[in-house]
Amino acid sequence: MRTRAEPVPALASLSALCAFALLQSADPLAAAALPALVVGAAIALLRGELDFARRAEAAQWAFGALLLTWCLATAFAPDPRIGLALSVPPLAAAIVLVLAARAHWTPAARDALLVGLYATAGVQCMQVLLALAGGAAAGPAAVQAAAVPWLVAPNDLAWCTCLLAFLPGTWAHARTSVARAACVLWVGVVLGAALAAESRLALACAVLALGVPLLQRRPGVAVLAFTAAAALLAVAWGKGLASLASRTELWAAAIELGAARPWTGIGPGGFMAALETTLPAASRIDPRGMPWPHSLPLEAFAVLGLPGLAALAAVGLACLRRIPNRNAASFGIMLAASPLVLLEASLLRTWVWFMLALLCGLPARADSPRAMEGSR
Amino acid sequence: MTRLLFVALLGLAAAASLLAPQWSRAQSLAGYYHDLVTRLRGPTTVQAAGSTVVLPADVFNTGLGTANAPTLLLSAGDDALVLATSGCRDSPAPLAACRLAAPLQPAGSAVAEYIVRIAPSARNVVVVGLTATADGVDAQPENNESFAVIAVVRRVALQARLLSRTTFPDGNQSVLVRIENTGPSDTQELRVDWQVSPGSLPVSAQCSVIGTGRCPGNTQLGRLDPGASLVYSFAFPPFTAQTPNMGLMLSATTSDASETGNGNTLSLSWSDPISSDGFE
Repeated sequence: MRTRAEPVPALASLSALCAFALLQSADPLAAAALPALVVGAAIALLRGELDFARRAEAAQWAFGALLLTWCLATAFAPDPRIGLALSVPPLAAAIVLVLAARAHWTPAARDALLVGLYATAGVQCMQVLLALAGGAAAGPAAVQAAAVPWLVAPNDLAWCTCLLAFLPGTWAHARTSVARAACVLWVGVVLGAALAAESRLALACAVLALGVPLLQRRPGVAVLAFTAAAALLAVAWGKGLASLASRTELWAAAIELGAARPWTGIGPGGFMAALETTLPAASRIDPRGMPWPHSLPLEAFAVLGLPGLAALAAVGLACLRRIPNRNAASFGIMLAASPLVLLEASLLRTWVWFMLALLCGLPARADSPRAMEGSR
Repeated sequence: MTRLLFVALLGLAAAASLLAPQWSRAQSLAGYYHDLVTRLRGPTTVQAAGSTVVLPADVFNTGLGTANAPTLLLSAGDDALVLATSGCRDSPAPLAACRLAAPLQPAGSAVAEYIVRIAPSARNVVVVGLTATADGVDAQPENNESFAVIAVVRRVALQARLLSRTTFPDGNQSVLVRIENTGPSDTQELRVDWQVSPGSLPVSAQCSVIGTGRCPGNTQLGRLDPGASLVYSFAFPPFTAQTPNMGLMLSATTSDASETGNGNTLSLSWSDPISSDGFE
């Protein structure tokens, strides 16, 4: 029997997390993702990988509070059925959190998890490129044709480009030319998919994720590069700033809806129907049905109420506090995720719950992995 | 305790994966999709072809998103139905397409009442289909359709009556008889039999159609739509001393519909007015 001094390697936990993410990269396999997570977690439990005696960190408590507010908001929603049907990702995220927080993550295991995330992002982005090659039009049509469950809108590709923050560290530890070639290929696929989807946000996140190491080494060049990239992105594809104006409408509506039900919110999944009552399609800049307000904090306020907003803020603050000193990768992903969180992300997305659970669960300070350290 | 909670969590997730294996797809459509389910309530009793029936059409939204611009489309093969009127409001579409006035919210429902006339020529059964559509993604398009089967019989009511009997100056006589279908259905197997008395009279008959129909001929049976008539013109010769009394017996029958009423036969007899009162 192993002692506390000899923790069981997080093999099953790692497999469960990677399988859950990877299987959702293709629609036909997506149904197997949750069973894979459950089976992997059960094996991890049986193998003794999970240390339930470990004290929970603030980030984990905050994430638990967020889950609780989701449950309460669902229960008190005008139609709880909707929230219940959308509750599988939070449920899965609770398991992910336990696996991330209770398993013993050796540097090698964390490297392997990062490789799993790279693979997930790579497969998803490759499907967007294949859809484009298959005749789909660039932009939302390519994302739709790819039929990747995690990618609902082009901007969902931003979760993939945020991973670029870890790339300098991975590159530094890539010893073989094959590994480096794989890195280059992966970057090409991810950036190519962002271009194919015409997602300015994904490209902006890429710039921010890669920019931190650059900022540390050559601040002047980084500022110039940021400015140029921002200007380029703003005018790219002639989109202008209309989408931002549309977002301000949605944000105002989200505030109004949250203020109307400040304690429980309008309930998960209720935004689109409630939006019609607050801001009818005919009077919106973008008349399309909009299930989320394109801002995670405002969505939390509208959908989960003030408790949800507070829990999300606690999650954010706790994650910020967990950034190791001078860890460029962690700082880079936080920086890159900021516009994503403020301008696009939604609690309706599985990847949001998955990544939040990983950020809150994985130990940050005690045993920072080699690959995730980034360039220093 | 924490371990037990985690086991419970795993059990919950296992149940979710069994109960909602397509949760991932639903999640990716979160809020975007509706699920329209229709139910068409047909009459439970046998209906006569050509009669008017009321078909309540229910549509439910069992999805998670609002169904915008929901539209119902009633259809039946071979023009078996004609829309008499519609309970739908604001319907700009032709006949059976019914645009509901308001979007269908999740768990919402609406009823559109179709008042339709079964085609007079319908036979045996009429299968009516109802399809619901709306803007956006429908989670299960296969349940957007529903059907109702209407059992149909043909009912005709043939009325034969004398229109006129005229004696021309040369003594020839004309008898006009009208056979009208006052029933709701049509008949395509109409037979008209007539006899004159005395049987030896050289009487000729001509048939013409008012409305939609067809006179029976030597090789084919007649047809008569609801409201249509056949007018038979019989040319009788003048009275003679040997034939001071004349008569006509006519019957209209059908073999492809049930006959209602008893007016399908006509029996006429008349006499020479001069010989009958003995003054000439």
